Amino acid sequence: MTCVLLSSTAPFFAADLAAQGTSACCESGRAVARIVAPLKVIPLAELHFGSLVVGAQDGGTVTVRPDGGATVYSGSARSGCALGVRCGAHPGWFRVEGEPARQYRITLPPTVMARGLALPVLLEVRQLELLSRELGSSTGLGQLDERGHDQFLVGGTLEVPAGTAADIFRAELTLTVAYE
Amino acid sequence: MTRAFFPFLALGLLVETFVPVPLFGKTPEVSIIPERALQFGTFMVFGSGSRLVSASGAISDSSVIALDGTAPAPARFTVRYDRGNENNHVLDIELELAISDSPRTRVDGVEASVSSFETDLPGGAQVSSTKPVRMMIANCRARVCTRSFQVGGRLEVTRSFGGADVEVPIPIDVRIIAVERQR
Repeated sequence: MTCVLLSSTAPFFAADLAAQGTSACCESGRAVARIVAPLKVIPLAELHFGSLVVGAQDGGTVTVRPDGGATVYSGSARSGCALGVRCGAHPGWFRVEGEPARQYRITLPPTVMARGLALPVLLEVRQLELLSRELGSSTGLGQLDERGHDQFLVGGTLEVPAGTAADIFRAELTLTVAYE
Repeated sequence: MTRAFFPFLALGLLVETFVPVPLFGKTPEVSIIPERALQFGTFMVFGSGSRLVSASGAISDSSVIALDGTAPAPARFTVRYDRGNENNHVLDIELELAISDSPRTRVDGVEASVSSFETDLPGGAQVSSTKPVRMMIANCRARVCTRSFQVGGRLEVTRSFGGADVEVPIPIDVRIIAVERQR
């Protein structure tokens, strides 16, 4: 009698490694970004040097402080406001709105020229400076609060030559505000 | 007496050979693990604009103003192949990867979407649902083998009001094309 033994290499083992697989899967990655609203600057009050008088022989200056401190007169310049009349000097006042808790920077020109409405006379406004209420800083750096708000004030020094005729003088102040 | 026992011995052997052997391991499978989000950073836009972050991390802006914040960076994914058993054959696995355009997402006054995906895989400069890219996991000797790659894309933003933190899903699919055993 012949004994026939079958091969022990049986087709029951799995993992036919050369097979074309169709195993597939899907996943979802993420893309993230922070979109920041542009800064908005709202003027609340003009930089006002008030009503003043200056001598015929000597000129003078008027300095308005951004912190709202007392106006400083030098030379022959004096306040021209009568008692009880509200015509005094005060700093410019601006509100800023933007991204909460973000810092921003304000850039002022070194000088601006105020032009008389009646006469072609120019008066120089120099030493413009500002103060951020949130930071209490005068470096030009501001800080928006948790609501995205801040305010800053602008002061400066008006140079008034001797004998300047009575007039109303106005200047356009261009300032740049940008996120730091 | 010997002859009487022989048929029974042969039958016993035959019975043992035909008993099915239990299977070990499971079906091979592939998965994707998101390791890092595609970071577009922080920027300001007035109306509409876009930012491209490439698979290598290069940035290209259109009508946006960059601001300090999280640094832009490509996304990173890891593809994981599990052969399902403990054999030590050396495998070369070919996979196909596809990335679909993300759905448009709106958060408050900001709408955003991501498209123009690219990877740092060879031949994967542009990837979409209609233009997949092939990738290899070569010389796989362990049960589980992985390969990582980076993904860049273009974020398009339209802002109506305010600002927002936006998060956009990136649908990514991978499938096994072939598994070859090295000889």
